[in-house]
Amino acid sequence: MRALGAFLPVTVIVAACSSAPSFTAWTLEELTPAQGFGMRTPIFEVPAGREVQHCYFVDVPDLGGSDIWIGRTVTAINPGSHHMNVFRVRTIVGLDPARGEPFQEGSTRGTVVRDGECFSSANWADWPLVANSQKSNPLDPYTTWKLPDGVAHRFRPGEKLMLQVHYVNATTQRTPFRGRVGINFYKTAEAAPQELGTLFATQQSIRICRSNPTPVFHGTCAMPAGTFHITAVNGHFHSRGRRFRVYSWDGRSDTTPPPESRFYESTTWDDPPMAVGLDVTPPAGGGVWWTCEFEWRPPTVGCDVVNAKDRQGAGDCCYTFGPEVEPNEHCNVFLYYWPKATSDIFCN
Amino acid sequence: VTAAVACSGEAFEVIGDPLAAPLITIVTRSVDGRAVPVSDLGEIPLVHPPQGGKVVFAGVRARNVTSVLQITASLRDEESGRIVGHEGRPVMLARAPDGWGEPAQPAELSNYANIPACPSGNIAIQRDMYGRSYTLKVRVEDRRGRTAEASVRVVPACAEPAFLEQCRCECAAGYVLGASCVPDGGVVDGGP
Repeated sequence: MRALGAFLPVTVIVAACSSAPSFTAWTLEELTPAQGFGMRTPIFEVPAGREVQHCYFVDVPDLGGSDIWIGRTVTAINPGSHHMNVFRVRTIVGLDPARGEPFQEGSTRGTVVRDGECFSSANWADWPLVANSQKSNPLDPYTTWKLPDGVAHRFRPGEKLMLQVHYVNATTQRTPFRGRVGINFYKTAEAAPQELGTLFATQQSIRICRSNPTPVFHGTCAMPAGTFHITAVNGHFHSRGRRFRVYSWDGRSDTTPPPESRFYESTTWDDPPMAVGLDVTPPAGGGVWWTCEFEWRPPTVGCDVVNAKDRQGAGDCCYTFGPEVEPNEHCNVFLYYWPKATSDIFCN
Repeated sequence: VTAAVACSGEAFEVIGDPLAAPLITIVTRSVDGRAVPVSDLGEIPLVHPPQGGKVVFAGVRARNVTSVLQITASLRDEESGRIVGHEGRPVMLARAPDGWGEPAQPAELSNYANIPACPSGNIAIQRDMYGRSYTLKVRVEDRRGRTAEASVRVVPACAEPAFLEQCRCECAAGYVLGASCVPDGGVVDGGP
């Protein structure tokens, strides 16, 4: 758990409590092996002035010995969530499921690492993305995502997954209730689906500084040879983020693609849209281009907190790359396409 | 020295002659954190950044430009013509004794374009990212809208002793995301 400042004004805490909307606890059906499998976190506290990040490690169950093909997911998230991500666990760099505490919530069993290494970004370099959601809506905690007909996630029995949940209860984002996340993976009835592929991209070493208050960062991610259909995407940044755009890219041009190539835009940092049902086909040998536009503003936690995280020691109140919502910034792309290339894709 | 504050509140100065054409030369960040020139067909290090993978750093020494620049840099595969990595960001220059601007803090990664190279580039083109030549192109636009660009052929190389084996695995033609590349520090595969 990370403290975001020495203390928060009492008035802020009171306002957060008194303005909290009512919330009916979400429910997800318990799936039979014929239906699929699910993951649940326990309920956990998110104290005022804090942000917490938990990494839950769970093995994919054996539902009959063969690979499991998933055609639909339903997530349910208590409000206050900054994000939930599911990754396939691969190389262990610091964040180690074997060092987690055992947990059980319903039929979900595994280990959990709370905060600490769960905040470290070095782990994701070769952990393929499975699914993500940034929804934080007390009136509608559910997200149903049906993959295109004939397309499915593929899981192997015993494969280790990691469900990462990040909650914030501070100034820029609040958790009016306690944290809790669930996700159901529904098997597809289709006999021979095409496998969904994922692309996770992140812009490193970004800085949003007082003396350079409107920086723009852009990056590209080249896809392997072949024809791919992008079916879903969402962008992720923190509260200094003003506009997030993703374009289809020809893989040869080094200037921003034309406006008609854009297929995603977000101007909402704390509940960004998840674009689904797309069918964007980048040119062969191409990929995606994304742009993050930021605007500096005084940090709610104070410049001393932000400066303390700047390893350059510039003293310029610079928000730097990192997972914490209040003092750090991100510029990440979560993208889903089919058919899966020879590999999932990570662009650093 | 001409100092200015843009409408956005951004502060910068002009390094060199404000009326002369912008000049740039490409530099990279050495493994030990210095801004060093890049020579034609010279090696350029593949570096392990905090987020993992391997990147190539591209920066500039420049003259007759503002001290704050928007830099874009790309690494193009010469065989296929495909851009395997591309990045753009603002960077800051500081005046060097010879009157040119150079990365204000040469050891810091944010002073360069962080061009993603592995595992994205090698997966995309199914070629090794190291030991082959690529074209590195750098373009800058200063805060007055003046531009300059330069290109050089480079040979990316795994150069960090702590990540040599991991780099050669992660940047190889046949690498698949999630495959076990046991780093030199000793890491186990957490996969099934």
